[in-house]
Amino acid sequence: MASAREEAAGHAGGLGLSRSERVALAGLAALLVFGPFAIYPIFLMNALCFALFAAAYNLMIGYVGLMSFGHAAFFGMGSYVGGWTARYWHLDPLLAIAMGGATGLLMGTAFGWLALRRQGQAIYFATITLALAQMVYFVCVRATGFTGGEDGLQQVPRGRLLGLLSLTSDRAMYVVVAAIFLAGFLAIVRVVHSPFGQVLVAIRENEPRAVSLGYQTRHYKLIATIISCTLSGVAGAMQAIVFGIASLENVHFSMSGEVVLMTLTGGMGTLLGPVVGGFLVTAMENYLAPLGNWVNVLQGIVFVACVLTFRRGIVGVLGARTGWRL
Amino acid sequence: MRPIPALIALGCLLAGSALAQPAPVKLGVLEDMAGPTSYLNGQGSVDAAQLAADDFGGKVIGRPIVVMSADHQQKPAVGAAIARRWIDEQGVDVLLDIPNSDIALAVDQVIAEKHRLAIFVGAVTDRISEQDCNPYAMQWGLDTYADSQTVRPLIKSGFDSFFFLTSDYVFGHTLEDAARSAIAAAGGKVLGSVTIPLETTDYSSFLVQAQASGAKVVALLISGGSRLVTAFKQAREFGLSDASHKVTSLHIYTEDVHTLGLPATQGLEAVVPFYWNRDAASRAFSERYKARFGHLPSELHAGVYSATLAYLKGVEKAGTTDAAKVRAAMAEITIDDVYAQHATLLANGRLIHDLYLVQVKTPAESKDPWDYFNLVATIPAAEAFRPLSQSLCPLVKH
Amino acid sequence: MILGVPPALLFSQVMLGLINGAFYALMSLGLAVIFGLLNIINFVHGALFMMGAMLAWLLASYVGLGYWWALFIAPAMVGVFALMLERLFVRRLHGVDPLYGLLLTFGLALVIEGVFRVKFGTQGMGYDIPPSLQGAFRLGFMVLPVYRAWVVAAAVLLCLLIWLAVEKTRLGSVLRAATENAALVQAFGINVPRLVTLIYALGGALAAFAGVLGAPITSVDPNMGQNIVIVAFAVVTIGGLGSIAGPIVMGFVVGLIEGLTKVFYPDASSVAIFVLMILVLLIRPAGLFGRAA
Repeated sequence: MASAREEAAGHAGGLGLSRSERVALAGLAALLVFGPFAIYPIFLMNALCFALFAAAYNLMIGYVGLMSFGHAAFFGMGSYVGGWTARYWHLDPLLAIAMGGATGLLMGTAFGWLALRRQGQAIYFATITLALAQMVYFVCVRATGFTGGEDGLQQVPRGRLLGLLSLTSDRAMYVVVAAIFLAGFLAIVRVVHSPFGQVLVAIRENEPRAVSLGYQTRHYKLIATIISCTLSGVAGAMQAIVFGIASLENVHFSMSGEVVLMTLTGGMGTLLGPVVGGFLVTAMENYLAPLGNWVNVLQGIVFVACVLTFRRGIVGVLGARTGWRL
Repeated sequence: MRPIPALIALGCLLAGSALAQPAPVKLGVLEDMAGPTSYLNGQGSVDAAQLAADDFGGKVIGRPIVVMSADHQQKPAVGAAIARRWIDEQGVDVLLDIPNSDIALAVDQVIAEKHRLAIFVGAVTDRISEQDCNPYAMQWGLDTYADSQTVRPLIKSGFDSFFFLTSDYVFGHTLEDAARSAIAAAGGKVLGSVTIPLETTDYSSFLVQAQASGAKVVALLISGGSRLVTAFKQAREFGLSDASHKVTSLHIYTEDVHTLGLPATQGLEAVVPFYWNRDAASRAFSERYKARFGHLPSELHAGVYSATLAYLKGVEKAGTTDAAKVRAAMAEITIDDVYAQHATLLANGRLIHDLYLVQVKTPAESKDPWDYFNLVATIPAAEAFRPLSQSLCPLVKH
Repeated sequence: MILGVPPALLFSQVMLGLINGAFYALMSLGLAVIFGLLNIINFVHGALFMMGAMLAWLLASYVGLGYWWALFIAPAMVGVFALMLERLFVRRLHGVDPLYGLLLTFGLALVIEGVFRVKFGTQGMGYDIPPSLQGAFRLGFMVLPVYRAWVVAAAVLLCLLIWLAVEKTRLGSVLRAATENAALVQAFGINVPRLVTLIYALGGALAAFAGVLGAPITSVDPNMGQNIVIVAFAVVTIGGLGSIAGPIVMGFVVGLIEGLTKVFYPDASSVAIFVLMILVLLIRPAGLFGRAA
């Protein structure tokens, strides 16, 4: 874990970053800039959408210890609303993506409030969110006028940025996606390093103690849930705009499982972990696609292996070995 | 030789031979490889495209022909992403088959944007060549307009009231629309319909709803394959068909008849583009296919064979793989093969060809294994498909 | 007409609802008992349900053993399989946050379902109704297929037997005590880890039994357990923990409500269970049969 000196040095910076975190962020920024010259931009954009989704998810599971097993609902509905408003209301792509975020915000508020009603073990939160997300899935299957059902919401235009710049070219689209990803990611970093974030960690570590210190832990949990769901909606809407389609896979429970996998492999409770995990899982799905269903088997094996022997994830282990805070 | 220098030498050899060879013409066959319709298209369609490429001589305009394939897993977003990657990264020249109407429409959008050709065989929604038509899409197989003609003989024999169980996606909806207008035109009536989520595995609650409607015909507008088979079986369990009530689907594949058995399907009528036992030519082709791949070709496999052959002829005539030029050349060549007879490629991308009205044989009539259909009538190309004068495609000038 | 609906339709849908309820009851019963004892949300339950059905199909197509054999052999095999899962994987999570139990079993379900998809695709296999249960009772007001009547009867009987076993036998009382306080039971000289393994295996066998029951009336495919396990979670959430009767009763009730929705508002039928869950969470957050935390 991080040394005290680094902790102290860290909180002096603007975002409250330690030196190792700043180095890592610089590396990430370099990857964002030079990535598209070496890698298929569509793949990169897809990976960035998932990385943002996982980073948002991590805010809950990694920093408050709340496990949602229904995050597909926010990601998927974000992509439907973003896609729908871009296609039928001809919204500017940025506005459409913001609409996706607003959807996540509203749903996150409702679902979070509902799921936090059942007191006691954290496991209830997981099953209730799972069941609520399955309900959203069935609504999407049947609400064909809105979602297109099995056909998906097709012909979503990429549109023109601020009415000026056409995003039809992958390069232009990439710049927008990278910028939104970075903004979302920095927002999460900011939240984690704020006093609010410190309370979240306190709740994760010892909730009764946080309660006895006078914190309304349920409020903190709910706010963290809402932030996480909002950014998940943004990620979903962004993906719909990139691919021109929003479909049922995005609201299916296996998507909820996938985001858990990304966060788990990368490292829960680390800033960079979910980003690494997001890239890793997307790459696995993309480049191993010819293996068909073996990909799912492999994902399952990774899941089991991580849970049994590698609970800190890649970045978590790396951080522990090097003493860096990542 | 030590391994590493050997590998380098091998690499140089491969690179050298790659330089010597002209770039291949790439055909991408996008399939449902393991899902509910995979035994109607799937690997068999990839095989059919390979057979056509081999029959053509393995080369066109001096370049080798490469057949590639991928599994869209019945997901529109996956299918569209594969199409994009094939075109962007692999330089695939034409996409083939693309079964399941929902995926077809998603891919249709990609090829329109990328100006790359696609020939749809397994997707039957007529939107591909009507509302959503574009200069790069061609539709080779049956469509929902053609399928809906099956209602005419039913109504003639007194089965004139219908209830639909409609699969809740573009295939089911377009087929229901087409069937409704065909039924109205033939003087029948529709008593009701219910939409069924695609992933339904227990149809019983929908079947009892159909039963309660009192309709003489319960039409299962569920795409062929294991889903349709399950629905048929459950209809039998609830005793839906008797002397005055019939359960039918507007299209039935020989493969589904095979799974359900003749006692359960005898007397059903369907319009098909190809039946292996139709005539000497179709039998010869089917035996040849079977000798190589181990099973008879489905009507979709034959369709992919025909589409591949036509594409290659088009490339040869155009002398290039440029999409617009090949498309123009394909309208000029004569397309007449074991699948597409008396065929013409229309401006909206629809290939019209003769269709056949068939009826499932009784167990007594069936002589050989897989001998399942009686040929009732040949429907000439011009009547089988929607006439160009009624086309909704903006590319067609009225 | 009853409430503007033809009686045949109403009765048929109620009957179909009860049949679905039978599956929900069998599945959530196993889930609830495993959760009570191991504190694990057993996501792999759906995969075990699927394995039951697939084994029945495999036994019929490769070994030639019919339905009645499958009804005993498949649950036994899946029970042994679940026993191995518990010994090899689930046990290692003892003392770790129960959330990891959900993740582990989710991963196991991915592996199992993935392997079956690789081997058999997702096209769905047909499994015929055994000849002795074919046909239908024509009751005048509705048609009741014999097989579906058998499903309800078998499920009700089995649930009753399990309820009696838990309430009246020694093993049952040990189980109830261990659910309350495992450490105390251990102190009385009872081998709790062995009890845990046994219960996990029995829960798996129960899921497989439900799978075999379901095989003839649905298409048998590797994904068939995915939705039912989530519905069972909802049923457990609605019922709450702390009783054996809870999941059984709620399973049938939820099935019935789903059936009625199919009569009056078919489009909402698949959502009905979850709406019910939301209502319960609003009114009685601890669940209908549960005790407040």
